[in-house]
This record gives sequence, structure tokens and C-alpha cells, in this order.
Amino acid sequence: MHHIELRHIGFEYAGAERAVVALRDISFGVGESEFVCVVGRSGCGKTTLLNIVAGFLQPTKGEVLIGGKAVTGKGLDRGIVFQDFAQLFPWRTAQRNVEFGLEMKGVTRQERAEVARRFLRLVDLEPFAGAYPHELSGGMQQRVAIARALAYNPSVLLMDEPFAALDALTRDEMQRLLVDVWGETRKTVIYVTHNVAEAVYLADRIVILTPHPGTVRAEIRIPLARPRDVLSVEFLEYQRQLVGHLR
Amino acid sequence: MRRPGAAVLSFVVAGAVWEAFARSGVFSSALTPSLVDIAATLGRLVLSGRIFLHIGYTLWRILIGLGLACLVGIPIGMLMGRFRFVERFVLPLVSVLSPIPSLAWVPVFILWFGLGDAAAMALVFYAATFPVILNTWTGVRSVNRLWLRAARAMGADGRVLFVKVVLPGALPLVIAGFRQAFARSWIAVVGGEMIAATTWGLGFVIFDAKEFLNTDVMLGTLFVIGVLGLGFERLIFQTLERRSVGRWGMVRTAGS
Amino acid sequence: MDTIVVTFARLVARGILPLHALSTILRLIVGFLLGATLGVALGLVMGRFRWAEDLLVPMVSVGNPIPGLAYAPLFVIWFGLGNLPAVLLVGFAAAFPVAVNTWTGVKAVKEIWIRAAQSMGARERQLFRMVVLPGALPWVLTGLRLGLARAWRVLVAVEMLTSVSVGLGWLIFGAREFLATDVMLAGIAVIGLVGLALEKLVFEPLERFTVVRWGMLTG
Repeated sequence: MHHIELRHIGFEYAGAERAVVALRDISFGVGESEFVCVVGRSGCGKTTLLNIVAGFLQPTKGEVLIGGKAVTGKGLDRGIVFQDFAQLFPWRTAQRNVEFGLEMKGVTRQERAEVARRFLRLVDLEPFAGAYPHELSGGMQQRVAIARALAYNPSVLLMDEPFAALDALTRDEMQRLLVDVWGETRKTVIYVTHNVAEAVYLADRIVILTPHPGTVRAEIRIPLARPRDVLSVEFLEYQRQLVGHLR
Repeated sequence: MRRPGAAVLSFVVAGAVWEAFARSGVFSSALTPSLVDIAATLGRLVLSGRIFLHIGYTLWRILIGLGLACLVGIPIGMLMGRFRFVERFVLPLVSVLSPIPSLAWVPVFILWFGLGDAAAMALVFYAATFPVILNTWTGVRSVNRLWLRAARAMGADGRVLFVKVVLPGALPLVIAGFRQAFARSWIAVVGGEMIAATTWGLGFVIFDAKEFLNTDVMLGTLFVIGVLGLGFERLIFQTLERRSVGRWGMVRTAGS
Repeated sequence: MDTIVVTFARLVARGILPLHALSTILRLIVGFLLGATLGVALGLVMGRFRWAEDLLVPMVSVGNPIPGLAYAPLFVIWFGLGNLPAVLLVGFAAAFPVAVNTWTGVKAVKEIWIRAAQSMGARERQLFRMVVLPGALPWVLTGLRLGLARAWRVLVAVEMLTSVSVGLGWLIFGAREFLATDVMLAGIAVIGLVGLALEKLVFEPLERFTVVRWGMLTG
């Protein structure tokens, strides 16, 4: 039994003249503590798929199961990180942002602060607990967003191109950090990206989507040990293979 | 408006509430006339043509006051943005005078210019000048440095630079200032016409009607003022903005 | 110039100016609080409920450009002379910009904040209190600021029309009878100072403590 099951997911939306099929018959599973990357060109429906798993959108066909239960809406079993830096609440400090989910759960102030500090430490940002988002760099803001999505202890982490808007050097750093964080928290992750090297660096398994309508083209397992050497022959070979599928 | 049907419904509901209130007899009908009475009065004013004379006088005062304000305000704002010493000299004056409500000056202007047209126009001028100056100044300062450098690199200088780069670059804020100035003039002219005892103008109509408890005339005129204000805002300023800076993608026009 | 200064000093020393200023400011505070409460409430309701938006926005957008002062004679007929019509008119005039800006602010709250909060389990009420309200705050503050400026302008003029017994507007208007230009200009100076003080002492600190600190507005 997989931790997350996508069963024959289809999604249509009303276009200008007729209904447009954005996703057709998408099925795959994600194991407990597995890191799955969904890769595809822009417009292939990968963000739509993530929004369906997150519960922001209802699929027109099929269903999503998490821990054997059908997803009917948003829930605290999933943490989400978006691409947009603006996802943090500007009126709250980094720590208070991380506390938000715990506040919704009714956790006491002291415990909230402790947990928030712990997760900020996890992303190397403890010294910036009191800073407001606009005082932090883009990479730091995304780290706060990751800490925020983890702090209320969801079993699943959904990530929608969280590093796409960062410069290349920062992005490499963030990927290393994410691997460490994942190693420590052992969450089940679905990570959406269009960056081939990023997917090969992060994923246990890669699901490749092709557009019009979005369907699963192939799956690639990446059995390389972490931390991965991005210049190794195997790494480049997997990249080549992935690019081949995307053509 | 996104949904015209909803807007119509809105006014129907508001009208019905007013009508129920007016006919309930809580206040006498002299105080809260029914919509029928108001419409009839408005119709009478329109048919006799008097309302157009009043509107004409009011708009004439705005035209003169606002025109003078632009004639004086835009050059001053430009000079302030261009030359440091002008800015240093004018800015303190403007910041002290601009927050004073224009209507506070009415009694003084009456003393200086006498009752009537001149005082009302002076009032409009006073109300409109500061937004024009401040916005033009900000507009010139906010012209993108890169445009200036690019134009200089291509050989533009002095007058050419000013006319071809600074002026259009400052335009969004100049138009915004013009818009603000109009809104302020509108307030000033109505107030001025009430207090400065002119014999024509929409403000005068309302004020005069008070003497005879003609609430229907007052409400009808208020309606005209509202429609004119909204009409100017929508027709003139939004079109102006769409045609120029909106088309250049420099501001998002309202409603888009 | 020196006569104005001398008159100003004389009026302050005799307690005449402070008395007039105080009563005007009291009216302003009561009227503005009334209008601000009404405006924020209207704006929030319009931003939150579709039916309220459909019903109220057209009315507010027609009412907004009508100068508050134009209602003055009507208010005098309805509520008599003196304090009551002045305070009510000030509140009425101030409510419009507050309502329009609050509404815009609620509509401008970023979708991504709502999504993030929802994914962390925020319910409707919490969402409103913890995301929509702070998210709309920059706009609400702008509205309050415009509302106060409008209230101040209307009040000065309305004091000339509703024959209140003390007040800055009345002081200036009354001085005209005696051609006392110095008194009038002294009164105007006080009006300018009060307006400036409201801006510097109330709104700038308020903004510094909230939206500027949050980086939602550059100070």
C-alpha cells in the first residue's frame, strides 16, 4: 500500500468554446518517506496536479488517497511550499510565520515557540527568528516557508517549484539543504519542477508528464546514493535519459 | 462596473428603502420627499433649462480655476523636479499651505475679491494648485534614471531630453495630479458657491433651497452633482489615462 | 505679517484660539470615529460578501465623488443647527473613502496567503482575523487617512454653515463681519497646524509600527 495513491486522475476546465482536458488518467503511487519529482514542461498540468493532491482543486475524474483515505479538501496531513516568495505573511516575523499552523491547532504559546525555533534551526535560520520576511533574502524566505510547512508535522510535503525563482548558486545550496532536511524528517514528498538536474539530484523516483492533455509519459527510478555527485557519469546519464523523455 | 444588473438592483433597493421611509411619515414629506417628487422637481429644473445654467456656471468656475492651476502648477512642479534651489524654496511653502482646507480661505477671499465669481474661482485655483504641483514634482523625480542615461547615450540633451523623455515619463503622475485637482476643485466650488453668496451654480441652488425647505430641489441637485462628478471621473480622466499612459503599460487603468 | 503673529499670540494668550480649536477637534474626533467605524464595517462586509458588494458598491461609488459639504444644508434641515449636523456630516463624509479603500484592501489580499493559511488548517473565522485583516491593513490605513483629511475639510466649512457657537471655522467666518483679517489668518494658521499634526502625530507613527515595519509599504 502506497502512502499517496493517485487513481485515474482527470481534470477538465471550461475553456472559451469547449471544456479543455488538462489532465487525463494519471495514476501513480508514492511510498512512505519517498521523494518523488513530477517533471514536465510548463503547461503540462503539473501544478494543477499538485493542487489536486493539496485539495485546492477537485479532480473531475478519479481520486487521491492519502494513508488509504480519500482526499476531500485541504488538510493538516499535507504541508505546502509554493514558488512565490510572497507566500509568507509580511506582518509576521519568521518565527511567527512558522508558528501559524501550530496556532491553528491550538498549541500553547510556549510550545509553539519551541517547535518554531527547532524548525528554523533545521533550515539554518535560527538567528533570523525575529526578522520580518522583507528583511530576508529570497532563499531565506523559501527556507522559512519550508520550516513553516514542516512545523505542524504533516506526513506529506508538497512543493511547487520552490527554488525556481532563485539564482543558480542559491538554488544548489537550497537543494543540498532540502536533502538534509528530508533525511532528518523522512516526509513523503511530491516535488514539482521543470529543472532536469534538480529532479535527478533530489528524487528517488521521477514521474514525467507530457502536455495536451497532461499524461504520465514515463517513470525513472534514481537509485544513486546521497549526497549525489552532479558531475558523475551516472548522474549525467540519468539527466540524458530524462531529457530524452521530455523531447 | 462588472455587472450592470447588480448596479441596477442596488439602486432599486436603495430607492425602495428611501421610498418606504419617505412615505412612512416618520418625518414630514417636506423633510423627506418621495422619489416621485424629487424626479418631478428635477424634470422641472431640466425643462426650464435653469439647471443647465447652474451647471454651466459651476463648470465655468472650475475650468478657469483648474486651468490657471495647471498653468501655474505644472511649470512650478517641473522646475522643482529639475532645479534643486527651486525645490528648496517652494517645497516648504507648499507643504505648509497644502494641508489647509481650501474652504477655510473663503472668508478671506471674500474680503479680498468680493462676493461672487472671482472668490469662487480663486478658491478652485487654491484647491487645485497644490495637487498639481506636488504630483508633477514627484513625476519628474520618478522618471527612470535608465531612460535618461539611454537617451543621453543616444545624443539627447537639454530641451530634447526634457520634451522627449522627462515629460512623457512624468505623465502618469501629472495626470494623477490633474485628477486629484479636479476632485478637490469639485468640493471647493460647491462650498464656495454656498458661502461666497453667488447667485448661480449648483452649490448656490442647494444653499438657496434651504431657505425655503425645498428638500426635493436639494436632493435633486445632489443627484446631479454626483452624476456629474462620476461622469467626469469615468469619461474624461479614465479615457485620458487609457489613451496615454495606460496604453504604454505604465499604469493599470481602473477596471482592467 | 507681524500683526498676524501678534494677533495669534494675543488670541492664544486669552484662551480664545485654544477654546475654538479644542471644540473643533472634539467634533472632528467624534465625527471621524463614527465615520471610520461605519466605513471599515461597510468595507469589510462589501469585501467579504458577494451580495453586499453587488448591493453597496454602486451606491458608494456614486456617493463618493459628491462633496460632503453639499449635504450640509440638507443635514441642517434634518437635524437642526449646532453640533449634531456638523458631527454627523463629518462622519458621513469620512465614511466613503474609508469604505472604498477597506473594500479594495480586502479584495487585494493575496490569494497565496489565503492558500497557505488554508493549507495550515485555518478556518473561515481565523482566516479573516489572521490573514484578511492584516493583509488589508495598508489599504485601510490609506482610507482612514483620506477619511480624516476629508472630515477635516468638511468640518471647517460646515462650522461656517451650521452656526455652531465655537469652532475654528466659525471664528474665521465671524471675523469677516469685522474685517478682522488678522484673526482670520491666525485661525487659518491653526487649521493648517492641526491638519499637519494629525498627519505627523497619528498616521505616520501608526504606519511605522505596522505596514512599514512589515515591508508592505516603503516609509
